[in-house]
Amino acid sequence: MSAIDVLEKLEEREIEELNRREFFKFCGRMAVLLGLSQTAIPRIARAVEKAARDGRPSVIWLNFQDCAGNTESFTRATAPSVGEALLDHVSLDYHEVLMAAAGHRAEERLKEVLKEYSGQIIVVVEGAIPTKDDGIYCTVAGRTAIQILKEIEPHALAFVAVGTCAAFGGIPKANPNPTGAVGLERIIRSKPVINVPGCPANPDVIMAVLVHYVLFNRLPELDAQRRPKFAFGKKIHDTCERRPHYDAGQFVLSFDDYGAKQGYCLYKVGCKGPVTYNVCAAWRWNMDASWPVKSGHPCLGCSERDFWDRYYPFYEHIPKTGGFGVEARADDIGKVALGLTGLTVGAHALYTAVVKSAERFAEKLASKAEEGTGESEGKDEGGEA
Amino acid sequence: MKRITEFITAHPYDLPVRISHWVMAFSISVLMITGYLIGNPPFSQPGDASDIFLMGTIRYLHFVAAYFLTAAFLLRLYWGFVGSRESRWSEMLRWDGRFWKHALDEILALVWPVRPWRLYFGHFPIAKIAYVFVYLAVAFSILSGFVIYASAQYSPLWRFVAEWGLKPFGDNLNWVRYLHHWLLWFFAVFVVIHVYLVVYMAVRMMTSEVEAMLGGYKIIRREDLAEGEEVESVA
Repeated sequence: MSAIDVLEKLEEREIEELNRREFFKFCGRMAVLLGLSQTAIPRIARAVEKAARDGRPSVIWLNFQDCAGNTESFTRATAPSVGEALLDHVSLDYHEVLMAAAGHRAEERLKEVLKEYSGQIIVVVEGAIPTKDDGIYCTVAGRTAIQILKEIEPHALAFVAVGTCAAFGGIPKANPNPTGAVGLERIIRSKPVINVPGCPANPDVIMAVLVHYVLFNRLPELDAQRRPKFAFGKKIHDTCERRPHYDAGQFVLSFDDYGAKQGYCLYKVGCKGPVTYNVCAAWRWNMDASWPVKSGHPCLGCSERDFWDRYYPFYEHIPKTGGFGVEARADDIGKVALGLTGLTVGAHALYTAVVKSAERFAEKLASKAEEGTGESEGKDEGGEA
Repeated sequence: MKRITEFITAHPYDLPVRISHWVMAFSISVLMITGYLIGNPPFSQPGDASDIFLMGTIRYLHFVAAYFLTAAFLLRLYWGFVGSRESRWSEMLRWDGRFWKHALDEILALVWPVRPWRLYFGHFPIAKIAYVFVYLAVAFSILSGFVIYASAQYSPLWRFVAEWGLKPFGDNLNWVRYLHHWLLWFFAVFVVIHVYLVVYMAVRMMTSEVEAMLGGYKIIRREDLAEGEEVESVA
């Protein structure tokens, strides 16, 4: 379904009868993603149908310092297609990119929603929030991102930070962070925040968070970084289809070598899979078509905190060390340090040997001159030569 | 006139200290080699992945050695509170005026070898300073190493370590890996200096710390002792 269709449907706000097969496909996918058994599928179906019939959860989608990439990603949610998702499973009441209304009408709609669904709104936030200079670096309708969030906070049920920018500050927060950008969790204090990082976030994970709420009437279990455990419980490296090549020690050394053709592990060309939690390897992208590592590109670690600074360079797996004139590799500096240490101790050994020989030679000369006892045995080291 | 040389047989290092030293020495050597290979695998061979487990074996050795290092470190840590005088942390960290004077003497004897090289009951003053940093580095390598290790383990306990252990590192796993990687070079530089000074001392003073660390005893000429250093002779 194209975006135009979505907009048309939104405008008409017509609720269509879902294709039964597609609907169960969706329920099945969600059951798998949430780690539920097969028997949960009818439950999901009933819950979603019930939610669609009477009082769907209201969703507000806010865009701040972002590229709308997560919106792009969301419109590519595999099953159900985005139109169905918008119209039947959740009620997306405000989304600056997808909504038909604009200008004052849009802002009015937001106010209506806040009044109407107060306390049961799931607020999806996309993009980082600038805090420097009172947050003037991101304004919508004349109000800063912080003002908008503070106004919505009392009415919200929970916040979902989609994308690495909203979750952790992402690229706007990258050094030197000119706008003082932060993630949503630094702004929202009184309501739960769920982080769904990724650049962009996986659309099915965004859907699954919403479905989890519809199904269980509570938010999914989160880890220490407030990421849903069902999607961020494992590292990419540990679910990767190229993993056997890693364990075997078969690596791609350059992007056009034999290993690249054979599908070897991308570790040596900078894959951050071993240090990145995400669902990509298991859940993939674009109707299960592919994901970066499958298509031969190393993982950039886009769903990790400060990935732009700390996971750089993208084609080497250990960060560079600054402060050495050029951005040197830890190993290069280490080898130089080790070499210098070796040279130093070698030079010191030589130096000591020379000084000690000279000392002994001087002692011999002295004892000969004295014509005394001959051998000066057991002579004190400290004694003057 | 021949002078009579008095020899003292000292027993500075208890058995737990000696055991932990050699377990640490061996495990750190294995960890350095395997760690370098994990960080920079110099190989990539063709063949069926199901037949080869080279990287897996290297990582396995790294983890086994890490557990040995942890055990040895915990033993040493504990023994520093209950062990003999020389093994105590209070002794290790007794950096008073006399200690600094001895440290200066030691540096000057290295810089100008004509000056006398003094001996001590146990550790040398500069060595004590170095070992404090080494133990800190061992502690940090154990902590950071287990955070990285935990990130690939999925039992509840390991998940707890992986999630909350990451907090001091700014929730950034690659940053942990980066810092952990640097430790290799710290230990490499330390091992070179450490081994050099042990050999240096053995050659220059005709008595070896290696013997003391192996059997526990070392024989010292009384006249070589540093000023104010007390040694109980056991023989």
